[in-house]
Amino acid sequence: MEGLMESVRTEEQLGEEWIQMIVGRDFERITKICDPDVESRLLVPKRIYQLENVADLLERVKDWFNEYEFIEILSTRVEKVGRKLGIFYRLGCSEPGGNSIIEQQIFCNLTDGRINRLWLLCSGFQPEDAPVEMVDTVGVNGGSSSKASSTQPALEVQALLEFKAEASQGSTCALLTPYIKRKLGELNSGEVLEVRVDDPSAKEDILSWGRLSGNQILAIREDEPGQLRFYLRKK
Amino acid sequence: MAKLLINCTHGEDDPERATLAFIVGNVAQSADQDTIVLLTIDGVWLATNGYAGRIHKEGFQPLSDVMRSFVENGGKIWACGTCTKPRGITEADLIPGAKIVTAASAIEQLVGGAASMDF
Repeated sequence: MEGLMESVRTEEQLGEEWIQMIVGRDFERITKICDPDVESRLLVPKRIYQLENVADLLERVKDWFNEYEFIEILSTRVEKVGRKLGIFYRLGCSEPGGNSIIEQQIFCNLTDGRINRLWLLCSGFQPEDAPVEMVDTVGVNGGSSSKASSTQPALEVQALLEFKAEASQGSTCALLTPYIKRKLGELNSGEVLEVRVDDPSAKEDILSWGRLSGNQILAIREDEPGQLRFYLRKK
Repeated sequence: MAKLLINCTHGEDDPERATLAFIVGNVAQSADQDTIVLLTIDGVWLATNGYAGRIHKEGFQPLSDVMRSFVENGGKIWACGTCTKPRGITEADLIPGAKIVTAASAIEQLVGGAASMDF
């Protein structure tokens, strides 16, 4: 199935997949996005990395982002720049010590639906001046409003879906994404749905669903073990 | 052209297979992947009024709920004409969202690139 996906995805979808790989902390996915022998030049504030394969690139990306508990999309842009694919993103990252903002700009060449050369410019993790308190969510599905940790960036949410695995008749994988699809039908393009799920397996489901459907996963939070929150922007 | 063609050959004789075909179809459709559930052999009974309402495999949603969700999400239900005819099933017997098709229609989907699964 992944082979099929790789053969039919557009260059723009591949760019979105890169961003989702970081936001979902699904770092191993980079091996599906890049050629095994991908050549990378990474310009970060203190040095330049020249890497010759995807394993080294994976280690570098993990080293940058793995320690952050929560990564949120602040802005993205994916578009062709001449013959190159441009992937631009600004992310809000939080850890117990505070919030940071990072922006990365990538230009890449593709062969057979995968990145085989990549140039990346990185701002480095820039500390935010002050923590941002999360706004109340709008519980249009009868859900209650809530406040997240004050160390987490704000996300404006237009609708809420709560999914309790035990209360559902059947497994999460069978029901969750159809419920999401139905709920998204109530939203306009660009609006954000928060999905709360008490089943850790939902992460794999929703990451796949996002790649297939083209709806953007803005952030994934795990405030308590097994209690996941997904923020999905309707395409 | 559909991206997925899911073949189901069972009805009341195997509630799990009958239900799972539509669960997979519904998940695919929820991700905007155009999906057809192709009913053949005794599976064609699933396309008839009132039949699926009798099928509820323990641990699964009732089949009629899954089928309704599948159709609401844009999924298509095709019943094999070669299989409906000897069973006396006509278009007048079918549930909303279902239709009787020929073998050529299914082959056209497969040749056009639809991936297939069987239950």
